[in-house]
Amino acid sequence: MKKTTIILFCILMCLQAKAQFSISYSFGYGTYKMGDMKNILKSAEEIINSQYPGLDAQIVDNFPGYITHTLDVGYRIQQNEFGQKATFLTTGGKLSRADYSGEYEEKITLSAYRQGVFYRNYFYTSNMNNNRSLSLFGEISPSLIFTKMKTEGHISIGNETQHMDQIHLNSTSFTILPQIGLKFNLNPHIGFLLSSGYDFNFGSGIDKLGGNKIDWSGFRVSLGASYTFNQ
Amino acid sequence: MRNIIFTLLTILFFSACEYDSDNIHYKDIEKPKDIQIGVDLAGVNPDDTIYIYANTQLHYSLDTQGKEILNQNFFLDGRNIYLSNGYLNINPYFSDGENHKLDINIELKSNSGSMADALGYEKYIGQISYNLKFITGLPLQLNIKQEQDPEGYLKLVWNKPELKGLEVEKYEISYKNGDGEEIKLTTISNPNTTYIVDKSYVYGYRTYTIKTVFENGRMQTWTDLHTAEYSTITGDNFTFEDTPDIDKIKISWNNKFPSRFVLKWIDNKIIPIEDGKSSIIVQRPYFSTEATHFQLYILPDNQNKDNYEGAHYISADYAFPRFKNYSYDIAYNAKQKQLLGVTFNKMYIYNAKNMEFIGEQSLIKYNNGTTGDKVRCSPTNGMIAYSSYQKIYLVKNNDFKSPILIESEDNYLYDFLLTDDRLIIKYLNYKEGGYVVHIYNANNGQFLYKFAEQSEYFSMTISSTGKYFCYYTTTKLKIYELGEAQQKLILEQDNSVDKNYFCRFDPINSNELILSNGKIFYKLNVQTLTKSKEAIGYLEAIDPVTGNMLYSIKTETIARLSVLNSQMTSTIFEIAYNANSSFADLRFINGFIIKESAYMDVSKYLKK
Repeated sequence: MKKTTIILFCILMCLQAKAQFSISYSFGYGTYKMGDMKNILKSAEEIINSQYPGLDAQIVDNFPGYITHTLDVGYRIQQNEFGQKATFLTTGGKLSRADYSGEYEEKITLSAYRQGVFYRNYFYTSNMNNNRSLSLFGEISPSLIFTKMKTEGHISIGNETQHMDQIHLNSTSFTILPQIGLKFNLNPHIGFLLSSGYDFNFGSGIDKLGGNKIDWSGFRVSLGASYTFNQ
Repeated sequence: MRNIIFTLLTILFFSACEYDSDNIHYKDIEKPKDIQIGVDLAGVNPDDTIYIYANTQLHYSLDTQGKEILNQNFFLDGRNIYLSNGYLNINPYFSDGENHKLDINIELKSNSGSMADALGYEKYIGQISYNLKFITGLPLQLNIKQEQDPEGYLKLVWNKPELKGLEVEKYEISYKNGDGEEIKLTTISNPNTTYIVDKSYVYGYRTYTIKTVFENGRMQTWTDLHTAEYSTITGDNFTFEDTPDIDKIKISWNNKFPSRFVLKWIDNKIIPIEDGKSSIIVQRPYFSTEATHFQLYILPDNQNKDNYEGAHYISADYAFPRFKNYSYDIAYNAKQKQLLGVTFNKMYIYNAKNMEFIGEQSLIKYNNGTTGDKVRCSPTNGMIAYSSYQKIYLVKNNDFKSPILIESEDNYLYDFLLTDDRLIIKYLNYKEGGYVVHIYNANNGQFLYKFAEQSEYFSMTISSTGKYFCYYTTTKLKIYELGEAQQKLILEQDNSVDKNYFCRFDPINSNELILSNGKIFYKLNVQTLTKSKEAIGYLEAIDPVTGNMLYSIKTETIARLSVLNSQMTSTIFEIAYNANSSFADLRFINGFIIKESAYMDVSKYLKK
């Protein structure tokens, strides 16, 4: 509730600033280190197969890279731009086994809201005809990551299904994302962005995970569009 | 305001985009097919009845066609029973003769490799039921009988167990040897063959074990025991027969079963017995009062006789015949043709023809532990005299209850002789300074006269008619003619040279005195004082019936006992004798050589 209030406040401030502000949405792809989580999933695989020899459950998803959604609200003064950045990250791990007799599935889903600020420097701009321009920029974005973890699973034999207990877990950690990017302004209001960087996630282990860590560190690449107010 | 709403919707939209995956690990596995579970319970078809007569182990096996057993349970009338080492142990819980239900529930893994298989939800389920019927109170044993087959071998016969629902698989027959080791004899796999012939059994203790094994282990194996019945052979079961050769005897015995024999005879001499025979002629042991030990080994008729050791054997003794009772002294009663033997309070009577015991007479008096009792018989009229301590009793007409007592104070009784009418007693009388001979009337015990002799110890003998009396010492030999009131010296000679130690009047010709010095012996006619020719040998005894003379010739290694006829013309009998044996106290009466209680009848071997 607290973070939602902060986000709404920032967006409201940007809208009040009008001409200085721009808002952009980027669609991207991120990879995630998730070393501890992969170990947890591997352990789960070994345990279930030792408990039920012959089950042969296997990891079918091992916290792969996944789609990211980013919303930036910024205020630009000449070649400097400040603002707030909100990113949605998600990935998961999955154990699975299925045949004619039934199905087994156990899944860990991780979702995170990366909420922070950014500073972007347009260190090179090339103006073109018809108010078009192309800029290269560097960006750094420190943030907090609010992570939600949940597990779910079931076993179905014939017509009978047994659901496993769900586990929900929340955690918060710090992250910093340096990026470089390219922005193409089609006109004074509409622009397109392409950026890439590496997100460094810092944080300690989580007690409820036995001291293991949910590590969102990884490469990021995104492609988005922006709208600038009050030129 | 619209922008705020837009932003919130965007975040909610993002939330809906959280990670999801359709990836699954699917294995394309065939569904398991139906299978036939094979159950074998003691070879019984499920529709058949299993009869339980005793504690029974039902063998149980399951053909799972390679499937793993998840579960199997056994219920007898709903009660759980358990499998043990592949067997169902069924005890005769009931004796009602009714059917009882045995259910077997089986669960097998499908082994399909499916998830359900791994989680134990996929399995084959089978159920099978049997009927059990309990029958108790029947004799559950073989009735073993012992017989002999036509060839005489031991044969064990039994009745085939006739139990409904049960078939015999085999009979296992074994026995234990002398070391307690179990020897397997044979296995009979035909249940209708209910006998066994054991040719290895010949004699002695042997306990057979017959194990009756039932098909499919439907009933606990029966164990029946049978101890071989045989006729014990003891020393009494051996027959010893004389042979035409006095030096040989024939030993016979009888064994119930066909067998071979090996005899271990004198000096451990091994004598294999000819097959099929149970007798052997062997060297007769030397005449002795002691028994001769020997062993007879009994072997199976297929065993090499060289390997006799380890076989059953019987130890026995060969002994020369003995008088029924031990006697201190014996005498020949010519009138009754009896042999009399005296002991401290009995007179034993034997038939002199065969030495068989006839009877006994209690003596009127017995001494207080004195063992020097003697007995004498008159040559023809059956008069008997016996001594008891310092007393002599004269018995007439076998009237032992009323004997005539002869005793003499101050005289110490040494010896006495008896003829048909005279009783001659040698006393030692210190008052008279030495030995004194008293002459009594044997018919009434009346003292007639006496005469003193020198103090030197002497021996004495009297002719069968009572006419001539001879006494002899190591230095002198005197012959008297005994009159009615006094004696008359008819011969006196020095005996220190000849050293005759043995003088007896010839029982046939009472005028002849037989003298022997241990090397030679001869006859002296006391009327003519002529000597017969000398015979070489050690004179042992003179037969009072025939006058034949028993003498011995002994060297270091061998000795022989011989009999010279009364005419001293020929040796009519010879037998080997133990050179180391004592020759003392040999007697020769009516053709019997007698030593202490033992005797040997040589009468039939005496040459005419």
